[in-house]
Amino acid sequence: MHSLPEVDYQVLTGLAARSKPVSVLDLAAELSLDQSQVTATCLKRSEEGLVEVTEEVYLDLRLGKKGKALKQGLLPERHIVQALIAKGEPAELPELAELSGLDKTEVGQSLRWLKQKGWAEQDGKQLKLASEAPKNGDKPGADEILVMALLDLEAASDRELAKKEVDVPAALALLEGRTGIVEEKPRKIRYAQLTAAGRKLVEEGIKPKKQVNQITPEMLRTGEWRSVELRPYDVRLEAARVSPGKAHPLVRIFEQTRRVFLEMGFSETVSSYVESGFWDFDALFQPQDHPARDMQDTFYVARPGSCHLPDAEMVERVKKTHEDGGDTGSVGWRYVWSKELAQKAVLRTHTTASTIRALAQNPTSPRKVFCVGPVFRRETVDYKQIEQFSVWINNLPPNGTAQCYISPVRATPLVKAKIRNPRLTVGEHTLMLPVEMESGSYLEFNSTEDCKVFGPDGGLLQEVKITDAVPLLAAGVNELRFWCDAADGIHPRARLTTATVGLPLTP
Amino acid sequence: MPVIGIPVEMLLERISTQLSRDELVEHLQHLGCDVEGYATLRRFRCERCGNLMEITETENPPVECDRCGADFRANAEARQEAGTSEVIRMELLAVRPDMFEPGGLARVLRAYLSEGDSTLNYEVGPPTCQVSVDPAMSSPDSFRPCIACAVMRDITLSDDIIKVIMKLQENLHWALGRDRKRASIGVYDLDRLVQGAAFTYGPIGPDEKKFVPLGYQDRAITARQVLEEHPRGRAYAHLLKDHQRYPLLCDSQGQVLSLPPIINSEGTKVTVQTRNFFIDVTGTEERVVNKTLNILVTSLLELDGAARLEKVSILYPDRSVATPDLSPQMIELDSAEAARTIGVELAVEEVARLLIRMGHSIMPKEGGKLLVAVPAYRNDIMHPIDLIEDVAIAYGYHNLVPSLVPTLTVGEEQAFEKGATLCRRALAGLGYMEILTLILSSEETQYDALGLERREDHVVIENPISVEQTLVRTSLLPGLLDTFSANTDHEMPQHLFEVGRISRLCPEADTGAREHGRVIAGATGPRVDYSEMRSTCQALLHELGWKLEVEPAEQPYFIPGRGARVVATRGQTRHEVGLMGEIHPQVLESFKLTQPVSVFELEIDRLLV
Repeated sequence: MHSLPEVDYQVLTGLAARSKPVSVLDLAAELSLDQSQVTATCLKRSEEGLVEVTEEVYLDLRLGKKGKALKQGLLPERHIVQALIAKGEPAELPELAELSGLDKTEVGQSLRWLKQKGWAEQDGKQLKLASEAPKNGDKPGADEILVMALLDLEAASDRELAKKEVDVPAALALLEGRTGIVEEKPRKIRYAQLTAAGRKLVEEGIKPKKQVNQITPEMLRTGEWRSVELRPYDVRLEAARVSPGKAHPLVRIFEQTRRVFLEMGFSETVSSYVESGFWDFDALFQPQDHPARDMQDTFYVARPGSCHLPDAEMVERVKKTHEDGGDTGSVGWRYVWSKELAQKAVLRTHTTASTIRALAQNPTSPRKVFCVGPVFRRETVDYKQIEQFSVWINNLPPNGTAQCYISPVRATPLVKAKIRNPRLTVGEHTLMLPVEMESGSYLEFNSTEDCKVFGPDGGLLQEVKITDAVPLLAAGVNELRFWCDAADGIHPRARLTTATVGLPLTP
Repeated sequence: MPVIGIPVEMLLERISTQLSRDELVEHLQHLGCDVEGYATLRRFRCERCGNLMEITETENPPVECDRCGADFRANAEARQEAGTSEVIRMELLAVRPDMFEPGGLARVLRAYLSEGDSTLNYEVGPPTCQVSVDPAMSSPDSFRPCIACAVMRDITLSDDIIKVIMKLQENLHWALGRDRKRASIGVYDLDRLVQGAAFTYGPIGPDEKKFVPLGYQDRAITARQVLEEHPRGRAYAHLLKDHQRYPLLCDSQGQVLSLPPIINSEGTKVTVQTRNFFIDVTGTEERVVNKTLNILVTSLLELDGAARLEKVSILYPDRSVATPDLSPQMIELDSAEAARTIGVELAVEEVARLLIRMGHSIMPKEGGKLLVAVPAYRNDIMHPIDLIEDVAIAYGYHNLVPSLVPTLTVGEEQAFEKGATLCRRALAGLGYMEILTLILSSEETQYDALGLERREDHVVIENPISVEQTLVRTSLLPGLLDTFSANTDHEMPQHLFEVGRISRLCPEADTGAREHGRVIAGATGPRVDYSEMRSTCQALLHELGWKLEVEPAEQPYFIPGRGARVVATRGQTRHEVGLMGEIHPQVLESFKLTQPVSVFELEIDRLLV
């Protein structure tokens, strides 16, 4: 006994009941299975030599929009000829519409066919019957016979129609160049038949085996998993994308930096974003007219407008140092120091303001402090610089050195770009979507009749007419490629999702 | 910092050591210059005034003369191509204005490379000219009391030298003059002036006197007209806005030299033919005015070795001085202190040698002390510690070996940072991604967009750079919604969080404002709702050691009935720590969001106890 997957069992059994090839379509109908499933099984088993699959190409014919609208299946030129016969003499072009019961466009379009079939001749503005014109009671043309035959059927193959004595090749030759009357598409039909080896296998005995995708707790508990076959996956296929939660990259750099200082025994200090000019500049001996203190470079704060200064003795020492060096040994800046400027509130321009505060609290005993945090500079915000960046500083009293690292914050530039004619290639067939798209817009393609471009806000921008056929997946490995035209020097990024309908093809 | 281009050829011909391009860059970097690299400049000459203009490869040719204002768009012939020049581009080292041009920079390099002639004695001839200063220059309605002058003779000018001098003048105005406020420079053709005594520096009324300003061919106008209509006048008029009377420098015939700090007169201007200079620096602080003059004249002597410098007598109402005074500043330095501060072993001779390499002269004293003569063109030596910095630069920061700090202390984190780290780990583990948003924001974003009444207790910026950044944020919520808004075309759902500080006014704080640590988390996507954030909030509080209690709370930015107050409890302790809820569609609309959003925002500080 050979155990086979359920579908394979049904297909092989179904084929074993026949001695002649059967169309896959019929077999699927008989077995109440999906056609693609049966096709896939037949193709897979044919590779093992159990089933022989032959292919036959046929034409699928059905009426187009115009074809469905034809009265009694007769073409407009026939109506015109009948109208001319009824009138008995040449007719003026403008009166033809009324005589024939057609609309003006139809009349206009028919003139070409009247001439081509040799049914009528145009003489100035007049139309008269020609030598080949059919008489009343004549048999309809092959094209009309085809249309009439299709009026009753939704679709038919060329072979079926031949059986009904429709001369399909002649009809199609006559209709060449006329759109919308009859639509023809080449289709493939597959026939399957057991090979000798296949028949032998069936005769040896086959039984269906249940195939499952997902193991259930039930199966594990009851031991049912022993009697089922776990369907193999194509492990190469993509799975859904997930993104992890994580810290901001800049924060990771802060953390590394903080760790280095903490490991070396530095204590972390903190101070307010709003800082007095005193701590941000004066206490660091930065002169009061230094360009960095300009309104151009530093954010001043209107509310709270001014800050409290520390004790008068410290303020006096800073003032003296600025003016003439005080007792520091410096010559000083030699100007009159302004208390008002020192009181003015600013957004801190560096974290040294924080470290000098820490030092001032504890000027003698050894202490190691650092501060990592945002500081503010008055710069235009663009992708290269934002007005807050981060500085980390250590400070080592009483006889230490100070180091300072500055890291600019860069953001990714957003480039506006256009792409043109996105193309999807499957195997050897390419579907080109003749559109031009801006950054942020997207395109939805559902079928050649339904393809739309939407703007970044979701508004409909354009309906697109597609002329290429939609590529079909073939058996085996399919190579998919997506590409488009873009301006020089730009490497656009586009995201494409394709969906296929049906069960996965089995290689 | 502005970037300057030093002409490479002019620099190298003033140094005898053969330096490769790379070596030159390396030495300059060791001296503290931020070198960008070499560049080739295209030059254009204005046919009207002879001005040379230089552009980099990425700039467009000038459309007007930056000196006389000639319009090249209307008159293309007036702009002539004048070849190219190679420069080394670097940021201006604001503390070393004596290194702003090739002459001064070569002087520094020669000493640094020990080329021997580093002890500089510039010869200064006795005064032949006098300037009388009107006492009214010290009065509040026309305050610009200080002036220092010099005469230079036998100068040979070329286009290149003129260009260098003009740039030097401009950069000194920036670095020392604070854009001409503290000090401004004028250079004149001495031979067009009535020499000798009786130059006058004094105030005039706005309409008192007419003269032809630079660039005005023959049209004489008053000082008031200069400030109102001349391009330079308009650019610098703000410097005289508190003046009722304006400073004017004239020769004995009443010929105007300049209207400091605005503009010189056309009749006294320097051309390529000029052989002798009269130079003035006016300003508000004597130290700065003198330093500016010292740097300018010694740089000129470096640029043209054949030129002769001459003092000028300045007659103040109460005293007279002769400028420039190039006598060095004497500072005593303890060499042991220098070695200790830098952290290396240095003998006193070694310290002396290093100081000489920085351009100083040394007179040894007893007991490891050195008497250092600092050149008169150095503006940055105010204290012995500044000399120690020079010793360290000459020793080379790159030669200092890093070592561990010997002081034993125990490091400690800030409580807020500890809490922030806990929040980050918990929220990242729950699948949230961290963002950092801008701290500066606006009332529109912080209040209006959320449907909140505007409040007054936030920090207001006096000089915002854009209408979008006028205050310090009071909530992290707008930043989060902005980030969602910028990412609507990315895959849903999205989970973000931020840990950061907000600021509020606080009269008790010495700065008048206080920051508060906050954490915000939010999710957006088709099936995001309140319950998801409640779960997240509960998990976060659990990680921080608290239990979650929830009380209904309405907020304009939450959907009615879907907002809540977050209460953290631990035993008997209860803290209201924040809010959570589903964002109202009205708010989603104002942030251009097309998916539901749920958030919570908590005060961290109270959770870290």
